[in-house]
Amino acid sequence: MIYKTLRFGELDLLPNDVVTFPNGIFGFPELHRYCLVDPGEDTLIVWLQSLEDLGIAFPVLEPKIFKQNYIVRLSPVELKDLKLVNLASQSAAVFTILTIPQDVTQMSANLKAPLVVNLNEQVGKQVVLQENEYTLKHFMFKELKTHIVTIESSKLAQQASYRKNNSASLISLNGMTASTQVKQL
Amino acid sequence: MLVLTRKLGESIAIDDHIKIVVVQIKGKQVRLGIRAPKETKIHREEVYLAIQEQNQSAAYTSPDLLKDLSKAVKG
Repeated sequence: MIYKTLRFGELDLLPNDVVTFPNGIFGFPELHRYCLVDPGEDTLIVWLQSLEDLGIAFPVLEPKIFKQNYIVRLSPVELKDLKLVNLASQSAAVFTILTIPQDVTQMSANLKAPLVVNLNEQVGKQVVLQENEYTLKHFMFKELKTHIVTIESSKLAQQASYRKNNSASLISLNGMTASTQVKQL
Repeated sequence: MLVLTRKLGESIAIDDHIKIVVVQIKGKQVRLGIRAPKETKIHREEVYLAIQEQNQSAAYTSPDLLKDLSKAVKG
């Protein structure tokens, strides 16, 4: 099915490209269906595009890129909502929502409330973590820059294995790997 | 909403496992102690409001900002 998005033009989606957030995302309880889009900017940042309001898309980034020791601990209720019945055999991807002001060096990631996506079941949820050291506004421009400068462009292309070319493209959930530790509380 | 009156040191039990104690009353501030199983998530309500606000502003991010960012991280 074709969706005409505000930012990326037409996206042709297959049913297994869609992630469902049964409770929505905080502030957007009425929006449930999303897909992931790679804008082709080489920043490793991808977009979580709403399929119900085509003007809404969140810039998101996998936290391993700027915070290696990040762990997401989920309660039994959260695991159930995510249909994560077996953490050993199912894989879950973790994304943090980015806030990018005009001065891009002041960009921040929300480590307190990451998005967890069950890649097998295509179900997502924004969870709120209990840890006090995780903040809503974790500044990380420097870490992102260091990460991108350190790895050569060839390696970068290899690492972002789901990337196809330099224009905006849909990210297939099948091609994604889980890189952040997700544990039970 | 259920409303209960409690004195300093008194508590409220929720289910069998959650206990909320009035630890201190000082002017307009009340300090509460909460005992709950470790898998229970407990947050101040403001956290949810702050997350909502942040999501609201992130949802309308312009793609141009990402282009600027792309330049800045490579520069």
